[in-house]
Amino acid sequence: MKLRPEDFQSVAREEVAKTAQRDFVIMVAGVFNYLCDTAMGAYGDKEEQDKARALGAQIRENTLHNLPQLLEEFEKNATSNGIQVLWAADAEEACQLVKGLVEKHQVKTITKGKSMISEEIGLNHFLEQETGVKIYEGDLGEFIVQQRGTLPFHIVGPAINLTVQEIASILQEHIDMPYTETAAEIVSYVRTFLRDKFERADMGITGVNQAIASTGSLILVENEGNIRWVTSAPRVHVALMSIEKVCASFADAFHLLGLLTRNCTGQAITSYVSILNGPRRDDEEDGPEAMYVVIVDNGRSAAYQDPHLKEALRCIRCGRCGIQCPIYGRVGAYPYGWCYPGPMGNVIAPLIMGLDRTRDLYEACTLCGGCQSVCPGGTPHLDLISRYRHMKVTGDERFGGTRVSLKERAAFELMNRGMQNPALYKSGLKIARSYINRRSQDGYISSLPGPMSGWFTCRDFPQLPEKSFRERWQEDLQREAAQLAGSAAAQQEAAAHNYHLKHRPR
Amino acid sequence: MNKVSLFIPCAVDAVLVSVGEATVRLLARLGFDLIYHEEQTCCGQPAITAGYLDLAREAARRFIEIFEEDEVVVSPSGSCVSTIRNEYPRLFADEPEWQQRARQLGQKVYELSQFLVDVAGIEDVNARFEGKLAYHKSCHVLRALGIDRQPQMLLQNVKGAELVPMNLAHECCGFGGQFSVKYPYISEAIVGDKVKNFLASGADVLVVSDPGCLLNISGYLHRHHPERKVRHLAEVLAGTI
Repeated sequence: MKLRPEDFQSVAREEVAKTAQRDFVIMVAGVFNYLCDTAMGAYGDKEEQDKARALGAQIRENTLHNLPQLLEEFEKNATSNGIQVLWAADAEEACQLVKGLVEKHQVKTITKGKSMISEEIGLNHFLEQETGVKIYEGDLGEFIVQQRGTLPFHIVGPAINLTVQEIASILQEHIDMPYTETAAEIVSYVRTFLRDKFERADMGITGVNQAIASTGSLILVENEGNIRWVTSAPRVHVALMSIEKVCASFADAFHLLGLLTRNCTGQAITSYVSILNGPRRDDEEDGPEAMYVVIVDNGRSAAYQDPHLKEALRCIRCGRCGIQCPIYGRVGAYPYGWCYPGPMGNVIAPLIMGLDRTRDLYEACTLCGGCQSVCPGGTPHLDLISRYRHMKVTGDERFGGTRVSLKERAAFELMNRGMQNPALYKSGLKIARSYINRRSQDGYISSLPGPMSGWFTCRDFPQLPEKSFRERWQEDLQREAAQLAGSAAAQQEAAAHNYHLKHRPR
Repeated sequence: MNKVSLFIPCAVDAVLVSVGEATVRLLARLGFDLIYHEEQTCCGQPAITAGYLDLAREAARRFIEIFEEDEVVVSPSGSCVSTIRNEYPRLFADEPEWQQRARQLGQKVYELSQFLVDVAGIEDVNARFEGKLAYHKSCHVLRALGIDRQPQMLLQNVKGAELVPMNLAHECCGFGGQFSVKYPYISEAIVGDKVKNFLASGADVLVVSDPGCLLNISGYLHRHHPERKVRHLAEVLAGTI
């Protein structure tokens, strides 16, 4: 089934009903949060960890500040390393460029390293339709979801929501694996199956974790060795990257990678780190004959033009925000309708897919700030989400946002103006009180028709007290407070502390 | 010279009046002279989170004018304090004069527990409660204001009470203002887990420091576990539970 962010609500309703999946994802998130916190401990105490994150944010800031120059520098140095650099304005162009390379190099079989940008542009589907080439994902989790035909559930744990029984059935159906629920046997079977593809593939396609401008190198991290295969065995290697994946130097890149792996899998470093400096040279035994980097924009330049929205490009794709997010934890990845689930998708999808299509992504957020508090790239999730909501209200043609209807706006404005005006507030409260309290049983109401009805699907609401705080204050609270504060005991208490001296504006 | 201006959020004014009363009694008992500006209304948080920033700016200007002469402002709501401190300066990004006034006010607006511990230096309010307490770390209190130690210190010093740990105490309760009404099925799953963790903690009372969390969790408890209690920090410290 093709998922779309427009269908967030209906898909989320289905997913949230899967209570076993929900409990499992929450449990896994807890484990990963623990692992990541422990791994971040390598930097020192909380303060040192904050410093490490701040340095990561500063590196990303530097990249965004100098993006055009860094990309040009990268292109120049990569080219002199023998890497051919191609530029794609959008998903269509990126797919066409890769198709051109498939045809040019007469490619029949492709192996892949897990790459979010290739999911973003829909590359697998496009190439299979257009060229008939066979594509094999090399990451085990990604391979499973490829066979299943669904979106990855998490950017680094694509199949983490599937049970071993489901995985066994998928692999039995698609690659003739004898049914087994023993994980080691499943891994072994897929390993043998894929090894044959790794050896025979004509082209390897990967993403990029960081591109180094000063040397024209690519860095890729992984744990399974598949990327090592994909980048070294086939005749041709194509690496896809979005424009913001570049950084100035190796020193910068290694700090970011340290944050990436610690916040992703809780590892100090992944099992494999590949640093690629070009195709095979004459005196070398391994490596591709030709190497390409496709740099994909796909709407990012438009966001880059806006000083606030460009902050959405800070992400280094660790996925830590997802395991912090209470919403993602309950509905999983599918409702987001795109390859970037959770807070990561909330901030990037509206800029690429448009505000109208992605409305539920930035609305279905409690603004709890869990994502922002751990982000190693310094992404201001809350500010961005607030901005998207504001752009929705006012309309923003740059990013496919139609102004909200006059009716919706008028209703909200009326309500809020009422809240601001003491007289209107007072009379409004009186009306609300009598309307609400009429339905009260034992001090609570359990349903209300209209726009508030959602509240009552799982909750009650207390009936409104006959007197507001303001009225209580006027009536006797003010007098009571003055008496209490003036009492001997309170005065003693006050004298024991030097209140006003301790009040220092921060 | 111990004048404290009360910032009573609209949810407390209209619905959770007992939280406002507890705040008053607690602060008065500690010897503070209380001021309450009767013309105060909403700080504009709902308008900000819904994206109506022009409306929010109107509310913010009004709020600043009402409170800016005060020496210190205290509120029993982390999210409303965060609105003044964190959101107002951003609202006025293009109006330096108002931004300056917002910043100056923000520096003297405190969430209740932070005021007591950090400003007044009070870690023990001489409260008593016989039983076990668990503390829910409301999002805006914990992450937007960085307040964690203060409310727990105050609770630990309540005579007769034992503060017990609760799994995922720092996770959101699923309120999120409009979120709870627009996405009730997700909100239900989140608050359901919060309550599960509360029940598993063995605490008699769950303590929160934000009216939003209080409405959400108490509403859920009343529907599903009416015998269980959630209370505002001010109520526990004032001894009115």
